[in-house]
Amino acid sequence: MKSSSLAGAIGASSRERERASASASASVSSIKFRMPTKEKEKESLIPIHLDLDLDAHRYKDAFTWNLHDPDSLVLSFAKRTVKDLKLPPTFVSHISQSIQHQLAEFRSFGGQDMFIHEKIVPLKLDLRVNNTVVRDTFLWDISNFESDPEEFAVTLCNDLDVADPEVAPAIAVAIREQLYEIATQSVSAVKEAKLGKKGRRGYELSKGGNNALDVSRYFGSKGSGVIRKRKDWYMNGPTVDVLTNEEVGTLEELNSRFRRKLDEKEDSFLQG
Amino acid sequence: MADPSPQPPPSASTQSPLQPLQQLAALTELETPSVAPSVSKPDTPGPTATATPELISAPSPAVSYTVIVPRFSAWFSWDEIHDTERRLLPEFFDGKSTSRNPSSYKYLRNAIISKFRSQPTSKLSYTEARRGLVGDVGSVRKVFDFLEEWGLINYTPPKKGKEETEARGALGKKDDSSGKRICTSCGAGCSLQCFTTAKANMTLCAKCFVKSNYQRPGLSSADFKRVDLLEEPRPDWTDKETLHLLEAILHYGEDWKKVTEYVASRPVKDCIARFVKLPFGEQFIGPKEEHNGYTEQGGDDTDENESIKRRRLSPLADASNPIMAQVAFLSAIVGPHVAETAAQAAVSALSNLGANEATDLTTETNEEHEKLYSTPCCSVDGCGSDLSNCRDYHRRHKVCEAHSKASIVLVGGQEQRFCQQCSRFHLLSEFDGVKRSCRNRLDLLNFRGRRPQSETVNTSLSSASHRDSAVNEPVLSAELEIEEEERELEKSFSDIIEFQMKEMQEKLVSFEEMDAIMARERLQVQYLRDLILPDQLAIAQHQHRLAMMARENVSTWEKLRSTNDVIDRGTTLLL
Repeated sequence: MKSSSLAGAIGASSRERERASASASASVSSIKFRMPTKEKEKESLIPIHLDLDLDAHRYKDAFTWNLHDPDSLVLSFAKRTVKDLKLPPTFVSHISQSIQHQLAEFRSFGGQDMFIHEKIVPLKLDLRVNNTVVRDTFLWDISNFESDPEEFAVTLCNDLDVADPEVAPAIAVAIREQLYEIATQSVSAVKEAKLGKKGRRGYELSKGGNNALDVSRYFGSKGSGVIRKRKDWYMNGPTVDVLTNEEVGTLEELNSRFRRKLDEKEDSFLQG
Repeated sequence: MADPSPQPPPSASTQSPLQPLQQLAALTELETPSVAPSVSKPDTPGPTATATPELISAPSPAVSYTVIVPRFSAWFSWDEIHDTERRLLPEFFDGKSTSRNPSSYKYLRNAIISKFRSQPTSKLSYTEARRGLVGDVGSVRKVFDFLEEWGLINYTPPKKGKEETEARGALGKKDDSSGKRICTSCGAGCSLQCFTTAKANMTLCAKCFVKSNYQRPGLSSADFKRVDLLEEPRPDWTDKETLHLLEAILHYGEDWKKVTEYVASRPVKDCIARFVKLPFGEQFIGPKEEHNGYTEQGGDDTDENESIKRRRLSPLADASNPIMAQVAFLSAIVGPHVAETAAQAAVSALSNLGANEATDLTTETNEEHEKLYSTPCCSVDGCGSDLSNCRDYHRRHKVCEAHSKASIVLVGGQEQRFCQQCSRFHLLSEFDGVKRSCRNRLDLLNFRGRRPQSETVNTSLSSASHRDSAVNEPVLSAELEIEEEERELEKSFSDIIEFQMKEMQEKLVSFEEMDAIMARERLQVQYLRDLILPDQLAIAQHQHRLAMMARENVSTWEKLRSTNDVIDRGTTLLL
């Protein structure tokens, strides 16, 4: 487990050093918006997140959707899901609407420019699937358009002997969501740059740039720059816990209580 | 974990898709199964539809289960991708997409199948399948649908030893043994009618056809032909059966199900029909109205009669003339005698109509109606102008307005003029000068009074004429004119009356108004009087007071005078 965290750091830092030495100003490639993963442009796999609560039925789901698929699939998918899970039929329209909304959102970014230069971004995983809790932080290279979150997820699960098969797709979706976030942020960063005319400095100082700069700080100085500092080790390795059902129950309760408190605070804030 | 077979025992629950790959790859045990109906799918490339489904047994430690795969999917193997798959799911194999490639397809396929096989009895739903799979839901959907259609998942084999089969997915079966036809989709026996299609070699019962349960995407309702199956010829009821039937009816009354059970050999309808047909059946229980589908009622004699009658009627009923058909129908219903008398009456009435034409006014108006409504055109030679827009008078006498006033017109090759009194054309010699009426008529008018009806009738009758209608015509027209004059008189009378009434009404109205005004004035006067009244009273009071005062004055004056007198007397006395 530790090796993977170290290895991740190794690959990243070497590349970063190369690039840093090659040119003072990072080479900027302005490309059209897309998911920075290995699919071709037309058929991006985008993460879809559904969380519906109607009529005392709760449906929470997260999966990957191929943008290339015809829109008719949305409705048939919704119907199939409702049928399989025996949800009330009002769900069909809600589900399909939600999916289409998210697809449209993604499509709205299409055609816009995003600046992807070598950015190494730390991705975090913190999810609970049935009884398995997975926590992880790792570095991901945004500019690598050959990256495949699915492969990463499958490998992770296999290496860690995760028994539950549902963990892998959840990990893949989580990764994709974060990548999507970053991609949209880079698009808005481009817009900001154009508006504010900050110049090159503007986006270099953005989040990703910070990370890239910080990488050198991650690792120890004094030459052994490829190894993380010891105190950071615990944070950067994947942890997989398998909970018992009781623990799951308590976790859920805590979550719901927390959520309720948040909602209350929000309401009071809005009113006050 | 005792396992007789030499193969390595796989675990019943498959964790990852890789495991079954290794284990089941080693097993392909073919067993010759028992007799079962044939299975076919037309677009399978290799195996043809002959005998039986295959059995692939995968014994497991705890529970041994057999996974049954239909024959048409026999090409399936864990390690390889078959041509069928390449053909039917091309998007995985054409290299256009990076996420859909052979390895991902294989992963998905094997994962889904092993997930299903972990619980072969329960149907694997799509949502459940996609939960544990890494990949986009669209791809999962495609693979899932493909596998389900080909029976590699969610496939339960048919039960053996039964005629009817439980069909799942795209299976179709046909039992050729007896003449009985079985629906391919629902497995029910088709008794009354079935629908066959040659395209897919399927037979559907009426219910499935209506439901459009075609089992094959390419079919439409037009592909199906209807086949009516005759009801099986029922052998005659033996005495024994009839006895049974009667006993049962005595026992159970109207419960036909129990009766049928008792009789044992006949379906319900048969029992009921037989019972009803029995000559003394009505003695026990009245004729049932529940049985439908049978038009025969009562005894056989009436049946025969009715059927014969129907047969006889059929030539008439088939006539293309709908009215005749209706008449035939009505006469059949009503009975022969009534129909006869009705027909006779109708014929006589029609003939009377013709005979009464000359004298009967009503028929004459009919004729007039006919004249009016037949396409009228002017009878003058060469003028065939349409008279639809002209007045009735012109239409009736078939002359256009222009020619009715013309001095000379050609009718029938002769010079004639239209006489306004006789309302017909006369030879030009009959007219004096440019008069619009013939001489005869004018004479009659001038010397014999205004309405020479009978004379005109006589003259018209005595004068030679070509057709009967031409003779009758002036008579008829005269009478018509009389009618018209009468009507006009009445009308004028009514007009006069109306006007007088109006006058009276208006007078009434004006008087009422006057009345109202007078009343108002009276009221006003009263009001004034009321007003004046207090003033009067006041004045009266005043006067009264004045009078009083005056009297008082007078009395005081008198007193004064009297005192003065006294004083005067006193003084005089003193003096």
